[in-house]
Amino acid sequence: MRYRDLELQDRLAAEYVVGTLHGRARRRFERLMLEFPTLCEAVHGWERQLNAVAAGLPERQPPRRVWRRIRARIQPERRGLMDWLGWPAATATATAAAAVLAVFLVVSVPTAPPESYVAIIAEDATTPLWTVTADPETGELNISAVGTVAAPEGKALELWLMPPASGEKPRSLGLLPEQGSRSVALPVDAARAGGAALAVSVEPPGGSPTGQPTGSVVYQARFVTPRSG
Amino acid sequence: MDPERVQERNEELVRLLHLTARGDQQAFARLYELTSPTLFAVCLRMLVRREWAEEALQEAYVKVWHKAGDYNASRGNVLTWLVSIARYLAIDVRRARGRRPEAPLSDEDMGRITDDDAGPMEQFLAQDDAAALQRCLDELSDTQRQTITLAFFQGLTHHELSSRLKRPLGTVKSWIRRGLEGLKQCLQG
Repeated sequence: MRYRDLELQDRLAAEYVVGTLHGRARRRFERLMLEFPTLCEAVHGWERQLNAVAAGLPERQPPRRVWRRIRARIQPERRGLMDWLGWPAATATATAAAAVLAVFLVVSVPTAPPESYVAIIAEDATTPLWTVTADPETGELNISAVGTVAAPEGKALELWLMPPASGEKPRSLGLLPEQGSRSVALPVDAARAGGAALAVSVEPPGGSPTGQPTGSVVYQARFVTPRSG
Repeated sequence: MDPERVQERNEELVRLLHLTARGDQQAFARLYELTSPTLFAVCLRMLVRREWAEEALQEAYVKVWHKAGDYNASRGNVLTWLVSIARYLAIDVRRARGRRPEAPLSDEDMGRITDDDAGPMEQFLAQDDAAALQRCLDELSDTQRQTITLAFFQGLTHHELSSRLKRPLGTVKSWIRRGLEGLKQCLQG
């Protein structure tokens, strides 16, 4: 094949655009386009002429899931739970307060596995109440009381996962232990890109009767990695 | 059909594409909103099966996201460039997925592309271009016109066209070749 022959180039270009050039010949042609600018020009010329036909088709609305998949694909590479926990947003938020807590963490939290995430629910920078450790591998949260934390008289303290997207509802992670620790599985369908936070609300004994927070939010926390700050 | 509005719409798309090239996801979302109904129509035409069409559409826009900086005026207007991406991907999806369900012949397959009840995107075509293409398609013989548009819209290979139209391979190839030559001469003339 003499690719320098402009007429041949033009014919092949047309067949490439139309689609009748296929298989190995098509792949070969694509490689040749990188080598011969005149081939590219010929292809572009045919595209300009013929694609108008396709552009004139009556529109068809694609389902929303296609956009969601596109959006997920163009986000930077993230592992499921890590990205839900707000990494790198969490690691990037190295504010002074987080730095103080992180220092505190190093001192008082038992060594967490390297790739886990920790949130400290605290009264203030020097008074942690619970540590919540998330394990991306197992999708489990471990909630540990620092010492003993009593709920207000006649009330219970309930832990909520606050979703990153507005319009989504908080998910209950159950009541906070007054001492010791307990584990809970992260709701699988709560996984979303972007930062998620924890909140604690004051509820009737046994927790919220409605499945959503009913009392005031008394504490909030965000996940960070032990190495941040 | 106002050429000024066509121009405005293209300028908007160019602007969105430039922002997309700089990583602006909101601009990209808007670009998707404006153009995906046309590209989805193209993918559906070519692939028939919705799952395949959705797959091709997804791949097309991921490619647009990464290659937004490649667009320039030699590719025609933005929609022409987007249609290229979608069509070539649909061709690839088709090859990867194997046998495609046969679609009934449509007006487009018969070479009738302009229509008095044109869809919204038809205004995107400068009136002149679409009319010129239709006129030139009309000048071809029925068989030339039909094989070209069938190939274009249904992504059929020479072999598939041959078995679909029940004609020898050589005949089909020659219809396409002559038809494209005829189109080219007419469009240039």
